[in-house]
Amino acid sequence: MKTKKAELTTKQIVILIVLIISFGIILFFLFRLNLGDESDKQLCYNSVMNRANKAIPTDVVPLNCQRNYVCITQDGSCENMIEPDKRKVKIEDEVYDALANELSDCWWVFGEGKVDYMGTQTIPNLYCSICSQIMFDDSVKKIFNSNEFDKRKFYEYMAKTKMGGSNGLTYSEYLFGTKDFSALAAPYNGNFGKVDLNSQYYALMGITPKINKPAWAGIGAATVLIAFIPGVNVIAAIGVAAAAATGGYFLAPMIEGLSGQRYIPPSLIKVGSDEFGSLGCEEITTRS
Amino acid sequence: MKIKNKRGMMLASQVLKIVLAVLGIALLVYLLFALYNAGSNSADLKKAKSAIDKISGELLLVRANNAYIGNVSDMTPNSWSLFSFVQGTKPNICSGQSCLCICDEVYTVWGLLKDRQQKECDKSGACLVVSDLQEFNEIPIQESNGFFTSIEIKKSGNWIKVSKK
Repeated sequence: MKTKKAELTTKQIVILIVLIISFGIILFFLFRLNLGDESDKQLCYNSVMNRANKAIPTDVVPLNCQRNYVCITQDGSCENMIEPDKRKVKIEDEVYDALANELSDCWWVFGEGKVDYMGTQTIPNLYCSICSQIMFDDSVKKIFNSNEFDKRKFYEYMAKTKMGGSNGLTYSEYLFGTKDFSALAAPYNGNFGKVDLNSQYYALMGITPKINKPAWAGIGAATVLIAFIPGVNVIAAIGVAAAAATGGYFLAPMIEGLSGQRYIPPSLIKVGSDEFGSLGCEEITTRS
Repeated sequence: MKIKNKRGMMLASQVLKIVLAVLGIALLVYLLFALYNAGSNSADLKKAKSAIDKISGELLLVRANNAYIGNVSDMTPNSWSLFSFVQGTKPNICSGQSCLCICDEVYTVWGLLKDRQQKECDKSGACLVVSDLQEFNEIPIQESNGFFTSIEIKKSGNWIKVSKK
């Protein structure tokens, strides 16, 4: 009699199977939502904010930031990157939008220039954070009918396009403090450079901890340009210029944020390029 | 007829119990195995990073002097391998550039488990970008008579050649 009561009935078996299958389906959709990506960003943001907390010594709290591997693709394939976050695009503007999103996410995660997460140091090193490593799938070349595109168009897009959300700012207002394209273009002297679709790019930003005297980034600071970008968060702008070997064009602005530290706002820099080398990043604060 | 149904029901429930028990045991074994692997892999990864640092140091000397032949002896960790990724998919950590990596060898079947080795090196290996690396076959790291595998690094034309010593 006891054994009979302990036996599973057909009804119970069916319920058990349905429960297991339902659990599997829920898990499948949870993984499809890719919540891990958002959690990584939130974790990084929290660690940045913790480091900025004056009550805790900066060195005690490690940055918990992971590089995001992104593939921009038209046909959904990304053969040359392992398990990337795919951004599907159909037209040029969608490519620019995907890139602008990576840059703005990077700026948000590292405190939008408002927080001091590196503390005060005696040597004016530039600490770089590689937020994303971006690859263009072969199919993207069909959109541009070329192996490259002009960064100028990308900056034009950021100057005129509003970000999603309630702040009503354009990408360039959010990142550089202005939506005036001419102000944005001035330090570049008309030459923004090209984006090579055969290469991978970093969406990176940099920070120079507080020091006693002004510091300059770039090779020997030989061709440093100075520009002032009027904006809410920007007090001054110092140019980081690429060396003559790289074509001598302006690489990225260096701005002084509300925290009093100097930042390179998120920029697209070719992996392994002279430009990347000329930044002279002392340390990469993100894990690959 | 009634007896047959009862017998059938008992069989089904017992099979289900056995299946659930086996699944539970398999899950426990997997968790234990994963726990053990996580510990031993992190120690191996430290050794691999140390070996990559040695290679990087020798590489600097080779680049500074074309005639210099770099030598890295006693590579670690045991039973891992040195791989070159020059063509095709590369570990993400190599940023699309040629690189060499030290990681555990994984079973791959071309087409079916494509890029599995690259994934393994990316997630649990140490890599060094060498843009002018000449492709080489996998070099297993093994212990023989108390000594581990040694490699040599030299300049060969415009390329950096890595080979087992």
